[in-house]
Amino acid sequence: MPNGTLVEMKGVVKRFGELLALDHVDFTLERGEVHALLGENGAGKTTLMNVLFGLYRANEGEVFVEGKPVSIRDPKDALAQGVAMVHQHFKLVANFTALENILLGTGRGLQFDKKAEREKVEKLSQEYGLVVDLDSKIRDLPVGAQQRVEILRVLRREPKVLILDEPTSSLTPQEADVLLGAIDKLTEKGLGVVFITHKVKEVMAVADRITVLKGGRLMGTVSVSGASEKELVELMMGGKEFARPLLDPSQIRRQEALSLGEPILEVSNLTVESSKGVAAVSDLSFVLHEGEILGVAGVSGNGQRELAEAIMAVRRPKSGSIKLKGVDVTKRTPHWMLAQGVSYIPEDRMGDGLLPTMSVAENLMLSHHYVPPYARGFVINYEVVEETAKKAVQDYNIKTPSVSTHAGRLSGGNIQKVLIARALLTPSKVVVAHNPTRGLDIATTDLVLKNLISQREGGAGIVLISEDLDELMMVSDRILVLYRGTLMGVLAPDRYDKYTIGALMAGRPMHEGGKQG
Amino acid sequence: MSSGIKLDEYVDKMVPYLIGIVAALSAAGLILAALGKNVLQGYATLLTASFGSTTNVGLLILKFIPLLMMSLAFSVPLIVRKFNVGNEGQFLLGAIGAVTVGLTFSDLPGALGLPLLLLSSMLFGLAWAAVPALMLYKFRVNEVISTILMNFISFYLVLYVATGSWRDEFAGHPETRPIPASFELPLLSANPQVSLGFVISIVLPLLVYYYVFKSVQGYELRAAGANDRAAYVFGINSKLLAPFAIMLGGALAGLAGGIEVAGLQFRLLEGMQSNYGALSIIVALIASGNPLGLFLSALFISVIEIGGSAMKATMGVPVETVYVIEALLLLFILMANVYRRRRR
Amino acid sequence: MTDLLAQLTDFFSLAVAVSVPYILAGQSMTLAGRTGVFLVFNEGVMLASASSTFLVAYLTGNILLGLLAGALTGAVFGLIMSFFSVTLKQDQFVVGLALFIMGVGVANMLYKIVIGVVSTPPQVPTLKGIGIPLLSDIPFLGPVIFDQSGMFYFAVALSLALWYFLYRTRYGLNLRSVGENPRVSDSLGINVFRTRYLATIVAGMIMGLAGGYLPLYFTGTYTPALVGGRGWIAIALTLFGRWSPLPVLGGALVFSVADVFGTYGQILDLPVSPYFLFMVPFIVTLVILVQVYRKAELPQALGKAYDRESVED
Repeated sequence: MPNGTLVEMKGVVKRFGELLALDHVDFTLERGEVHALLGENGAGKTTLMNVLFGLYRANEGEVFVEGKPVSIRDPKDALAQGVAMVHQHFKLVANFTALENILLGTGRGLQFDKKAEREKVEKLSQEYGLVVDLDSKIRDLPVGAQQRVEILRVLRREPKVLILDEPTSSLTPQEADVLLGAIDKLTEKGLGVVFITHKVKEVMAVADRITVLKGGRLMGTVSVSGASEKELVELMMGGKEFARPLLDPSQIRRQEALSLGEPILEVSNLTVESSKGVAAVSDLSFVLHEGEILGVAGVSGNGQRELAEAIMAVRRPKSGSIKLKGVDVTKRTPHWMLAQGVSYIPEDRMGDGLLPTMSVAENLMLSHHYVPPYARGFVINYEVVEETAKKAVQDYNIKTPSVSTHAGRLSGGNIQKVLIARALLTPSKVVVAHNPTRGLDIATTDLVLKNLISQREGGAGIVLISEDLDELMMVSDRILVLYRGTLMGVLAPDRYDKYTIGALMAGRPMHEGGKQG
Repeated sequence: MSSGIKLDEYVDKMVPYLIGIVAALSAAGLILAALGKNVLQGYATLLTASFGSTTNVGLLILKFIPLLMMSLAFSVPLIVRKFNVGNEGQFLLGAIGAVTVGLTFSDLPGALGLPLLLLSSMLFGLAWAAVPALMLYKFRVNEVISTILMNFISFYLVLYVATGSWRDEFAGHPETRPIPASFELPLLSANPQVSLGFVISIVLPLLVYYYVFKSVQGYELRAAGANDRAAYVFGINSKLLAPFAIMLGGALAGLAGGIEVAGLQFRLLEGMQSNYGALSIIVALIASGNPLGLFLSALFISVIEIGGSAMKATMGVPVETVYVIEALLLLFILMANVYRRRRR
Repeated sequence: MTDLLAQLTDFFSLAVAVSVPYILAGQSMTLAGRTGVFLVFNEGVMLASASSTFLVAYLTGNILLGLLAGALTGAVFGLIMSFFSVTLKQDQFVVGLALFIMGVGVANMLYKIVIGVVSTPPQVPTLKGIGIPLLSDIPFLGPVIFDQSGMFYFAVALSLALWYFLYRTRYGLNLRSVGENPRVSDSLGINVFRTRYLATIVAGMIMGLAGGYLPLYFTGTYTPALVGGRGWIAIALTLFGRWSPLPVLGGALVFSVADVFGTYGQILDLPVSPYFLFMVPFIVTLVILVQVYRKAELPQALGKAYDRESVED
């Protein structure tokens, strides 16, 4: 197998506004190696590769391909240099067949020599064990097959470097095996493969070397033969340092043995389908108590959205039931749930939460707009609305020229503040908060958490769905872990340990005595 | 503090409209020149003919009344991003509803009959809009085409009624007998001729404004138009609001038809919908939801419509020229708006 | 019995002749729609090109020049449409409606300017049936299909060519991807903007021919009511044909039968007011629409402007 460095990235810095996404990161890729990029969500792994692939331009740093310095300004440049990337969200046209997608945008001339092209694709397919029904439409293919189509398409360009972004996140174990087999064959031929993932176990099985990133910083690069899982997780979770400001842990969590209040929300055997018709939540059961913050941990895309939407009655479950204070609410409407005192902070701020062309004040009012004091019968009392809005702007430090500004003009963080203010405007019985602090600065994060805690003090039950384990461990009274929509475990505070939770999040069941099988 | 708009922001918003007017008038000038007409005379006629005599002012008002109401009928569904292109048909059904009352219950005293007539016209217009509204709600049928098809059906319905048992034997043109004089909208002034319809057409937009911007339901409409998914997630039945808005538009257009019957034509007349439909679309799209803008645009369009007729009479310029200019006005304003937003 | 056959032959012969503007307008919308551009200006553009075709044919005595003028008119409207919806990213319905109004205005304005107001409307020579030897002697099928004007055969040929182009060529595949998922197409190097511009302009040309046909068949005159709602019905036809050339071609016949029923139905002496017969095409279309929307299958990106800058979730 020929040796040599395919890619070298030195001192890469990438900023998004004030956010430092990559902090002087170095990375190399050898010919014929599988190099895994490991880290939690938001660690910067995808960002680094997006720089290599030309989707982002680094603020500082150099990139070399096969020893030569290159300037990659867009994916076309990247492809010209032999760098190809398969993203988490596939670039496929759902209504076209697999073959059509593979051939899309390629070649010259009017005619398709369909037979010759098909043979070429089939040959590639055989070579790497990426079997796919070329005549099926993408929307009818399972995710694993879709991914194979995407990879085949990329392979036609004969790349030297193949970057795979979280490739196994939606695959079944069998499909993952097929993929790993294909990767083996690719590296045998001398390709370099970058494998972006957050799954520790997988990395050990597949990679030659592992680079760990956290918070945009390079934590270390090790070769697999010399590392243990535990070491890797420690690297990933940041080892000793724990930059947690402001909130004093002893003030937050009840140190005494958990004496949970009355059940307020009972979810039983809940199965909810995603928009694609696949079960996103499977036979899930849990109880939320008054005066409790129930943290829901899990990698994004494991059913959290469907769960939140089922509770809010935005999405009708396929089976199972949800009870609010003993009353079956499975078939209600969002209006009803909101009126009962169930508040929602959705994850998709722009899509599910914001009214961009209406004022900040009017946005704050949504879902309360028809009750006193905001409304008197059919008419809205805009004075009260404005007063309330002004107070919220102050309380949450929302940066806006005035409460009448169109909400769409606000920056992302401030939009989030509006949505949170809306949800916490009045005392609630239940709060469903999905990634409420994502993208917020530390001071605001703490403000939000403080508000959630005071709702809890007021007797509310809070479902806090978050990808930030630190946050969950800090404020939750219990943590429930979701993997593929099923309950992996519910942990009490004395069992809070990042490694344990991380393992559950990655789908590995708990064993007694804390041993990992 | 409640409007929060400063003076220069206001002026900034006006710029695209001014640019649009200037551009459209320039185009008009070019057309006039190409036709070998006196451009300056054309401008003068176009813009001032409406005010040239009390008769013309009367004509201006008679044009303005239905145009403003039809534009309302288009604007309300526009809030929830629906295009009620069928306001023309709803207008005609409103007219049919008006003559139905007028000719069936002709013995009623005016004080009862006139309100009944107007109510009937609203109901007929609402019913006509209910068909596409239902098709939208149940089958997700696009309202642009369903309402337009209803327009065409309404044309033939008018012909059927106007040539049926209510037809006016002595007219050379399909039309019904006139409604009883007691059902006519009282005149407020004889010269220029202004009926109560004028008052209704001013009051109604104010009511609609109040409804849209101050009421709970109006808020829900606007929210659904801003983001119907978010509105749904937060408890608003956005699926129901669009059909509802279309029916409301139908009622408004129907009322316009009723006022046209009770205030101007006094009968059902083939072709009485004139070009109010297309003009109202232009007015509403130019105003894009701004109530004052609706008023001013309707006024401006009415002015140049009268001007156009005058141009035809005095200069031999085809009236359709004005149509083209009006369409260009909309296009130029759209363009100017885009460039204004880009420059920020 | 031969009397019935003769009547049916007349009826369907007329229906097929009337199907031409439907076929052309439908294919025009299909082409543009497959790139994501939803045309609604049909009624206005068809009238404008009917007017320009008529006037040029009238002034030059040459039908082909007239049709050329019609096609050019359509192309201009297509260009304006693409500018506003693709470059300026304006709402396609808004622009379409504006152009519909402008088309009607331009059509009548030009006619008034050139012809003015006369007591007898002027006429142009009309298209005649091209009797295909041998085939046109077949009873029923002969006159109905094989003795139509050249435009009919052109429309059919265009439909087949469009089908082949869209589904059997590389360019067609790339073009369709623009209408399905412009973001993916763009990332694969397909020029979304150029594709939409070209498609819309060519679609405009075809729409122009659809309009141009109208004054040239049957009466040879022009009136403002010439299009008579067919432009709008063509929208329903395209939806019915699922934005696909062959079903649109077939579906056109359904709509043209309903169309002819209005005029022809009078001869049948049915005990209903003729006005209700005139309503038939529109009512039929409404009913069809309900069925169509039940199984909506359209290009995924239809009607949405493509903004490269916009952030996807």
